[in-house]
Order: sequence, then C-alpha cells, then structure tokens
Amino acid sequence: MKTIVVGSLESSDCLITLQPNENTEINIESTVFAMYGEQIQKVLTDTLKAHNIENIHVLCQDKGALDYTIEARLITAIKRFKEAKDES
Amino acid sequence: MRIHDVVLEEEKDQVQSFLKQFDLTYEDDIDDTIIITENDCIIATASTSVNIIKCIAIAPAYQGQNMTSLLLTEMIKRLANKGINHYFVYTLDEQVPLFKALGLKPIVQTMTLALLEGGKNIQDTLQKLKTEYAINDASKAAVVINANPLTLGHLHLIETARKQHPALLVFVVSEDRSVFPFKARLAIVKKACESFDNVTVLPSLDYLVSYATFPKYFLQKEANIREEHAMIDVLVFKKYYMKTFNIVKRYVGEEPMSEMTAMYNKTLKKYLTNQLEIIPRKQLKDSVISASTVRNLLKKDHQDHAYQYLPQATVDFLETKEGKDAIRRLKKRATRH
Repeated sequence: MKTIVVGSLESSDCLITLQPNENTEINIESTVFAMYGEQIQKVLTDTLKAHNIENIHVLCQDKGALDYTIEARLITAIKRFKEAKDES
Repeated sequence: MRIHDVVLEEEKDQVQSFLKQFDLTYEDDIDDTIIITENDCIIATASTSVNIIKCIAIAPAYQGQNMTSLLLTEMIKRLANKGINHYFVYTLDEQVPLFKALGLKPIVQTMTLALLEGGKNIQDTLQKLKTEYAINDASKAAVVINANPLTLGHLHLIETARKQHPALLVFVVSEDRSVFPFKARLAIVKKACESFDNVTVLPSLDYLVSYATFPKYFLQKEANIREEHAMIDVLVFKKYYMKTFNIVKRYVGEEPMSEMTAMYNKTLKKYLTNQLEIIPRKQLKDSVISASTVRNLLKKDHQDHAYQYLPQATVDFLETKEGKDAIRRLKKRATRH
C-alpha cells in the first residue's frame, strides 16, 4: 500500500506521513521539539484514537504548526489513508 | 509562479544551463526533475535519483523566500508516491543549516559535501538493528561484503577475522542492485557462517556501500570513481557503525584487480588507519578468487570452473531455480554488478 503524505514544510505547517505498520508508532521531528514535543505527541495520539486508527506509522515533520493545524493535517491524512485502503 | 515536471529534452537543456550558474551539473542518473517558473523563466529546480534529492538551485533573486521548502515538500511527496520514505539530500557544506531547519538530519560532512537524511534517522535505525540481532557491547571486528555471490575468498576473510577476535560482525550490502538478490546473498552468507559461533551476519541497511552513501559504486565506470566518492561511505562507517556496535577493527581483502575497490580500501586506510586490516587474497592455484571472476565464468557457462571458487552454500543456491534465474539475468547484463 502506498504511503500518504499531507501538508508541507512551510513555516507554521507540518508534513504528515502515514504508513501501515505492525503497531502504532509516532515519530516527531520538530523545530520546537524541546518546548512542544509532548503536546504534539498528545495531539497526534488523541486524533488517532478519535478516528480509531491503529497499527500505523506516523511521521510528523513539524515547523511550528499550531495544534489545530496538526490535527487538521492528520485528519486529512487519515481520510486519504482509509480511501487508499478501501481501494486496494 | 508554478511547479512543473521536466520531460522534454529542451527543458532539460534549460535546467542544465540554469544549474551551470551555480557550478552544478545535471547528472545523467537523474530520474525526476521539477522546476518552478515565473514568466516562463526557471527560478528554482530540484531533481531526484532513486532516493537522493540533488541538483537543488534557486535563482539569486528568489533566495530567502523559502523556495527550498517548496521544492523539498514536492519531492518528498513524489518519492512517497513511489514508495520511498527514506530519502537523502546531497548538498554543499554551507547549505546544511538551511536543510536542518527543514527537519533533515545531517549524517556526515566532508570539506565540501554534506549528506543529510529525512524520514528515518541513522542512530535509531542502527540501534534497532543492534537490538534485533541481540548484539552486545563487547569489542568486535567487522567485515562488509556484497557477496555477489559469496566465494571462498569472502569465507577466507571471515575465517581470518573471526580467529583474531572474540566476535565478528558480517555486514551484507543491503542495496538491491546486484545480480544476486539481497535476500539470497544474505541467506547464503548466513548458511555458510552457520557453524561459526562468534559470527553474526546482518544487513548493512541503507548506509553502507549503498546507493545513498556511494552512488558512484553502482553507476560509473571504475576509472571515474575517485576518493571523494568513497569518503562519505567511509565516514559513515567510522562515525556510526563503529560507535554503535563497538567495532574496533575492520577487515578487507586486498584488491589486486579492481581499481575501484583498491581505491576504496585506500580511503578506508586513510581514515581508519590501524583499525583497518588488509588481508591478502586467497589464491586457488595461480589465480586470486574474486566474485567478479566467478560472475564472468558463470556468464560464459563455465559452471564447473566457477564452482571451484565457491563454498557449498553458494553452489547449493546456484542449483536452485532462483539461482538459475540469477545466472540467466547475469548473461543479459552488461554492467559490473
């Protein structure tokens, strides 16, 4: 199955990459990791939970995106991920 | 302003002359190029070659407007579409901070060149490999082989190294560009080393003699490969593999035949100094054993002659259907691997 990539590397945005995985794994690369790493982790985990997504690898390359930007990007990625899954 | 693909030859020519202003050459191994244009003029470009993003340039008037992130995002998405989630960027030394700000991780730097990666990170990847193969922290020796296919020469190298050290790691080149598939190469080496209790056979992953760290190895004619091409690979080994696995010595076979491998060994010697041991090649009658000789013999249907140079594990593989397919592919190939 194809990988899903959503977002951009522009300032105040993030690039989300989704891949099927054996378990749920979240990787965060952020320019503000020291300050907001935990918060980003929380947003990602909560959003995955809210959409009942498991066994996925999430890579979030963040350039200082706000919570709702990250959430919106992830929701879009999840939608595309589900579409791609249904197709295959 | 819009982004588009470069398809036509004349467009390629335009990119080529655009790159020239930055002293960059449009390399012939490129498989995808994009440009950003404004009023039909190229203002920025980037290319990919398998998992490497390179030939990145932005017109001076447009620098400082975050064009790089535009180019990079587009390229990352295109690579993901091809199923590539681990990518590398080759760039000039002074551009490293720019790419770091975009979330890429520097791996190594030479005097002029820097290699960065995204999507994965070498430290975590090697740490995972270490855990997966239950490798302890005791000091070890290492060899790195492509084993295309495994010969008695490789085995001699492994035997020599394992006798002088309590533990030996055998890295089999993971890059799947050789006529014998990686899976088969790894399986043969594992089989041949089965009875050695102090040897661990493991994949070299994306970082050793890989397309990313040593692209020229797979592309160029031997004569065109120079020291600087091997340097990145050698530095990666020294900085990450030796540290992570506590490797104190690397063993290589002496290289009387291939100029390229000889040069690679020379570069290794320069950076590893006394941590590198060069072992004379094993000889059979009057000729030294080498995988390329074996491939040539197989190509010409001199099976029996080739088998004299091979351990049982390799011979067994060659007799399987998969092995016969590999020989068939070999006959069709013109390249070295």
